Amino acid sequence: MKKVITGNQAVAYGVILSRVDVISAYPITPQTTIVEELSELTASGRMKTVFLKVESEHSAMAALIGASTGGVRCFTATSSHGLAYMHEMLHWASGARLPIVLVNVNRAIGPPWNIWSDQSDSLSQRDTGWVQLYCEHNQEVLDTVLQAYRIAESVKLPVMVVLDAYVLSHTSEAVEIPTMEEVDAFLPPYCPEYPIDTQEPMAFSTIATPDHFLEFRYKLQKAMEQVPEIAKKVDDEFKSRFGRRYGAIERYGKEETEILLITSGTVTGTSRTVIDKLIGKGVSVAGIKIKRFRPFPIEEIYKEIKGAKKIAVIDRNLSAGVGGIFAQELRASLYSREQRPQIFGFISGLGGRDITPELIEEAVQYTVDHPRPEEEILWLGLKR
Amino acid sequence: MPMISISFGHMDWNKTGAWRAQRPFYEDKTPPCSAACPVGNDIVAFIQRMTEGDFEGAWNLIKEENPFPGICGRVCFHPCESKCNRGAYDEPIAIHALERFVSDFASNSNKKIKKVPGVRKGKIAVIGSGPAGMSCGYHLARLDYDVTVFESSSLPGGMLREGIPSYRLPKDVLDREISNIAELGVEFRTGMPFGENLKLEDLKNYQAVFIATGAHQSRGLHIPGEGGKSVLSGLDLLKKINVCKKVKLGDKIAVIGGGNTAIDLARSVIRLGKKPTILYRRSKEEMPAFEDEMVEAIEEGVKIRYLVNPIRIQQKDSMKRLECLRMELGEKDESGRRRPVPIPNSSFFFEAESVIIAAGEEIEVSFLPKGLEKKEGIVLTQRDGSTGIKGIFAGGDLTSTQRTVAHAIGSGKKAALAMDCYLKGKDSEDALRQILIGEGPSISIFRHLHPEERRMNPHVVTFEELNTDYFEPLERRRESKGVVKKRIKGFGEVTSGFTDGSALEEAERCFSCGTCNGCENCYVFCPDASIMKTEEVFSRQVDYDFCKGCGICFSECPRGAISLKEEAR
Repeated sequence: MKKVITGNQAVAYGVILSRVDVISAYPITPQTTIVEELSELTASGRMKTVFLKVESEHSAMAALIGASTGGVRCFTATSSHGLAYMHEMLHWASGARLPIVLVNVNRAIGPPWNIWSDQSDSLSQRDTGWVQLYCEHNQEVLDTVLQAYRIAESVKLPVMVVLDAYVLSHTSEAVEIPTMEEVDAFLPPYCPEYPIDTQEPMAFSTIATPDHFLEFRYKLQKAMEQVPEIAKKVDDEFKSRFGRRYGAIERYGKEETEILLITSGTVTGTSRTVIDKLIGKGVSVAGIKIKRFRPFPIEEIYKEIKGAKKIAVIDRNLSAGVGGIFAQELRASLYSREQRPQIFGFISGLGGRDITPELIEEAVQYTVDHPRPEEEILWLGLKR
Repeated sequence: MPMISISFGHMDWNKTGAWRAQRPFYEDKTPPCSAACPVGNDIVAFIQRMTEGDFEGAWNLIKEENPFPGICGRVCFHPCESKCNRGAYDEPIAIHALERFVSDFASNSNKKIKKVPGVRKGKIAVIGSGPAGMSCGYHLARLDYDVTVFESSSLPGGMLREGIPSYRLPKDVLDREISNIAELGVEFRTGMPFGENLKLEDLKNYQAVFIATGAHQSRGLHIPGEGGKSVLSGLDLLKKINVCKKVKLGDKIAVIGGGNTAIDLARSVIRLGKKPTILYRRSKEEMPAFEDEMVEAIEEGVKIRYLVNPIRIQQKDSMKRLECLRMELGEKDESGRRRPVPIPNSSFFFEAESVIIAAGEEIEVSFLPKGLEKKEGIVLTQRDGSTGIKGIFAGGDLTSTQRTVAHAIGSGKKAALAMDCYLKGKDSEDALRQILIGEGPSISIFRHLHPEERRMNPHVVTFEELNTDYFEPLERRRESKGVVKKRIKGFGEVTSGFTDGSALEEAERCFSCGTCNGCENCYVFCPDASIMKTEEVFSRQVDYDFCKGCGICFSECPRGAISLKEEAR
């Protein structure tokens, strides 16, 4: 059945269809309507879920860590300062290998105070051991929530599903909503690695001395390394059941172009029209959408380089002192490779400013015109 | 090596309870409602039963303390509600309405009190079948005594029957609660006025006597013209209306007084098609009548003129002419109310066809046994109801200036216990002290009969001791009242009781102050999993092997049912 729904409603549908057992969340703009929808569904009895009201995001994640250890499927959603407040518990969830799914609605972090979209919040958490999946449209949002549980529960890692504030969260699109039966067939009930039995107590997350700590982190990294293969299997199965596939990355446009334009989130949608226009003008450019940021899909990206000389990356985020985070990750992971195209790192759209087709075209044109970037950070639309 | 740092062994060996400096423990405390109830009802406990849907259990609990839930649920001035901690949060629990609901439920499902089998320990006479006498008889029967209640009128009930109009207390409710007492084995002998058909000497076969003959004499105004035609004594008239509903009265009526009798009279005569005006010498704030009654009276068209004092009643043609003075309030008097003082040269006339004097009631002393000590209009007793004469106890309006149904019931109950002690040769004061609710003065017969059950700390839970984070504001449920137009056409009951639904909703508003209701907040919050719960049964026990004494259970208990004390080392 198709419904016209917002991105936040798409999240809620994904959660309902995933038969989540425990939800714990604290409201924050622009995530609030997700939690509202879910709390109402729970309160009305339409959804058999325990909804835990908590006093902070830190507690929301702490509560889910307990519930997930107890062996049930868990969900939370947050944004911006809320995600930052969860930081300590994010590490705990991955260290304890708990397959919690979190939806983060991208919002800038203040000050200056700002409630609009940019990726600084989720990308600040890139080192917490969470898988991160970015969405371009509302259908992808719903589908990614379903896939997230499959991936999380297979590799025993928490997964963060990320969508842009307002452009997705509060904007309606037609979304195909699978039936409960279809999702049940795709997503089996969660089986914990160590089921809790009150008669046979165990101690979780006990101390690991220097003799062992390194090995636990090695296992965490190995789990991350399994993600590309497992995520691909999940995506393939999803395609066969629902007819839709997303990949870790998606190429848009021709093969073997001079220039690649790398984007993530909703900017991708805009860039598709710009690429069509530029191809019409004879520019040799193709788009690469990065969906999975963690683990970083360097293998998948590398396969798409195919002789491209330049890569333009549009980052809707800033790691002050370095630049755009996607660009930085790309530079770092290409360093040891044979093909190392010039990386043009553009920063744009921070704090929710629109990244217009004109700005994207400007970025590509700059890349065409210059053999290498004149500056480490190329600001798009900056008012000097 | 496992995926995570996990120990398949357990930590039970690590008895962290040894770190504890303070010890939490479950200890029920006295709720303010019960402490304020002159009858001594275990209000929190019966409301808790209601929330479990166990209305019969609620009825059984009320009956432990009070034979008259149907009556109290309707006519009590519910001091419990004034003290209800919920009142400081949003609105107090409608306790009276819940009590009435439980009684009506029991009546509708034909619940009866069963006679206690067993050897009777002795014979006791009760003189007067008002709330004090019947309460005394009821509790004595439950304590295994043979009780005979003597009543001067032809039907038992005393003031309940004669002094309270049926639009407030329907006669069938009264009859059903009296019949419950009779079912217990209490014998009623009516038409036996004390001092006339019945003398103290006739009661030699009884080992003890309880006198509760009430206060039935209207107090006079002591003004000229008071004895004239068409000037009526309030209580006498009220009795007539209540018993036969037929009286001869003029149309325009002056009712003098500001107590409940005055209000009852005004509302009764309105139902007979008359036009009453109440004349009261102080202002609204000083009026001793219950607020709710006044509100209903005014709704029904009763006029009240404040700060007016009649000084003379004259006849003018067919009318009575009251010469009145306007008053103003002066200094406080011994009752704590501001004394009315006449305004010079303020006299005016108020005309009415009939004048009813309802300026209070006094006890009759002529038939009382000699040797009873009296002071300021009441018979003096100890707090257990014993008089200076061995074997003679007294209670109700006869012995108190707090003349309410609830106080009368309470005094009868206390006397029952005292008479039991007297006949067993025990110290009644000591027995009373054991079962005081809070600091008293009310007592719990249930705790006397079951000393091991429902033990509680006498400390009365204050609002500040509750953790109101766990409550949400909820509107008090209200009983519905008939429309005024229909109400004043007859003596049918004004107020309709709760439905099952609203009774449950109202019961669920109760904070359950000081009484654990198994909400399991402590279980949920205990960071050491030291609140014991086995097989889904919440045990109200702390596992002291592991409790570190953090006190979270104590501070998160919404109702103050957990105490904390320093650990003895």
